[in-house]
Amino acid sequence: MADTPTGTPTVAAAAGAVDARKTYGSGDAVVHALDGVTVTFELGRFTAIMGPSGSGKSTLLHCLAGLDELTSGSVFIGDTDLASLDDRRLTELRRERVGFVFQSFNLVPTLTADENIRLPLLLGGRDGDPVWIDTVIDTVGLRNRLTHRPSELSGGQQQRVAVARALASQPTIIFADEPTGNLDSTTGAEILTFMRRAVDDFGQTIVMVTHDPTAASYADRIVFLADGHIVDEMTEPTPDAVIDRMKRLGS
Amino acid sequence: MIGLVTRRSMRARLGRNIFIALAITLGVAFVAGSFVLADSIRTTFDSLFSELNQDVDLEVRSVLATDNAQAQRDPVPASLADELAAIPGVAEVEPVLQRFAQLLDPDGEPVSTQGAPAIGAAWTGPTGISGVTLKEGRNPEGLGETAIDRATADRVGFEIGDPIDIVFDDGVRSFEIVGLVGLGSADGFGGATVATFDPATAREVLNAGDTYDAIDLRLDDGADAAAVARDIEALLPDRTEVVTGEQVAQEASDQINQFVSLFGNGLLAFAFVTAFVSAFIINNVFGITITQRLRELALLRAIGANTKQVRSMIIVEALLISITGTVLGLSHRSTS
Ligand SMILES: Nc1ncnc2c1ncn2[C@@H]1O[C@H](COP(=O)(O)OP(=O)(O)OP(=O)(O)O)[C@@H](O)[C@H]1O
Ligand SMILES: [Mg+2]
Repeated sequence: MADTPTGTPTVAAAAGAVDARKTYGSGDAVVHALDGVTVTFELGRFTAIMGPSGSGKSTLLHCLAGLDELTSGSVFIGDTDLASLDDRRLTELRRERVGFVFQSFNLVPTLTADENIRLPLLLGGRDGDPVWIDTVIDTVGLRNRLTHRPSELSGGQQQRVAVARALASQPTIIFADEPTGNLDSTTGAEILTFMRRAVDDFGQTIVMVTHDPTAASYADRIVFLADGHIVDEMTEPTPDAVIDRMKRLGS
Repeated sequence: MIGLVTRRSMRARLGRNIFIALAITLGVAFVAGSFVLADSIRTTFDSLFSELNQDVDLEVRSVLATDNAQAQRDPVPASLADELAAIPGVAEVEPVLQRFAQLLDPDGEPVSTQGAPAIGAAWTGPTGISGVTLKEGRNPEGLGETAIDRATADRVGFEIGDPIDIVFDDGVRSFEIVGLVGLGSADGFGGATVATFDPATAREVLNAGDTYDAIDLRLDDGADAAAVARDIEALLPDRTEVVTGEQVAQEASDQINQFVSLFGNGLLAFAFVTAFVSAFIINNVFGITITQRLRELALLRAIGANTKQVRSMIIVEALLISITGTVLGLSHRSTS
């Protein structure tokens, strides 16, 4: 890995990909979901990934989080090459070093909010840091909803539980795939504010996929993906700048 | 932890789980039930035949010319009965003779048997060894007297002293009921109607000429069965044999068992259809929730449950449901 000339993850990298390729199907039906992606996500930063539908954003996130395997190339969490891990180690990594927030169906429907938040810790046989978990619960404002089942929570509250669960185990990095995709803009803004605070106040690293320029503007940096390639980057984004850049990429 | 998830998931899907357990219960109850039913029928008949033949030490009968166990044996000469009685060691001689004999009720209508046979039989009386026991009155003697089974008498309303008409192969005859009989301790013969006559009368009315179907023997206490059998063989005409009572009981049981096995297999086929339908229902019920379920399992894997935890969750749930269903099914068939 040290020989890779471009995009070698630096010491301060929380995660990264080097010449990552992922193909689905074969022959005429072959799809290059990732077509040589090299990218680094620095520790303590909030990165957004944008791009047209089908550009490979979810695929990249799933491969980075160890939920899916690359066809070739490599992905890292910290300085661990995921390809070197067997299933048991990969499970352990997902449980302890990665948090994941999906667009929907984030929670186990039969468990309470509190149990859902602690689930990754409990699965690993750990209790976690009670002070930290209290802080997380207060940060996302779920104190009086802890005993509720997901079906008794609003969509926004469910996503807050999902974010709290991702934060609870203090992972190296949190991946979120369109976490606000199903929410109205006000509720979405709340979730984004929590994620922003997690980065600013607690030094959490977050990578988030979004279609929404406003959501992307919460991030420190935006990576643009098209047809499985990284085509552009932007730092300190504002909604207007993002819209401009998207227009330019689209033409 | 995975225990908590399993418990919660089972409770959340309680209705579905009860339904599945019920389907398993039914399937198991049917399968177990048909085994048990066939088995109890078999035991009933086994004990019936050994009770019937428990006093019979030897039987004289004609040799079967074919291997077909269902074939009708030729009769034996009636004169043999007296000859056998004279052999040292023979305590009791019971001629066996059974033919069709349809009872008529006081209105002249045939007494229904619901498919069971209507039997006319020779019976030497209460000291006999045929298993027929006298319940009331006395044993029939001579033309014009009969003893019928008490179950039929109670059902139709016959009493001792009543006249009764009986239809035989060659016509109707009138009798007086002088006694009521049963089989061992039972009042009936498993649904069959039975009219008994003394052996000579039986030969006459049952149109058997000078023959019996077979002759059963009881030996003196302490007699050497093998030696007596040898003496008997010496005076037997051609194509006649002497066999032990156990063998007769065994042959009868074997015949019934063949039938019961067929019957049991039929039931079992039906039970397996039930089990198959249960499986189909279970599969469908699972199918309805499978997408939701897969999503839940995928989520658990994504946030760090290992394969072992997910597998144990599924196995524990499946085991609990199926064990519950099986236990219920097994216990249900034993109470039904
Ligand atoms: N399991 C799969 N089998 C075959 N093709 C797949 C599979 N998953 C994704 N793809 C293809 O890979 C490409 C990238 O998919 P991906 O889900 O990463 O896109 P995306 O950028 O997340 O899109 P969206 O914004 O719509 O979520 C698409 O062309 C998609 O059709
Ligand atoms: Mg996607």
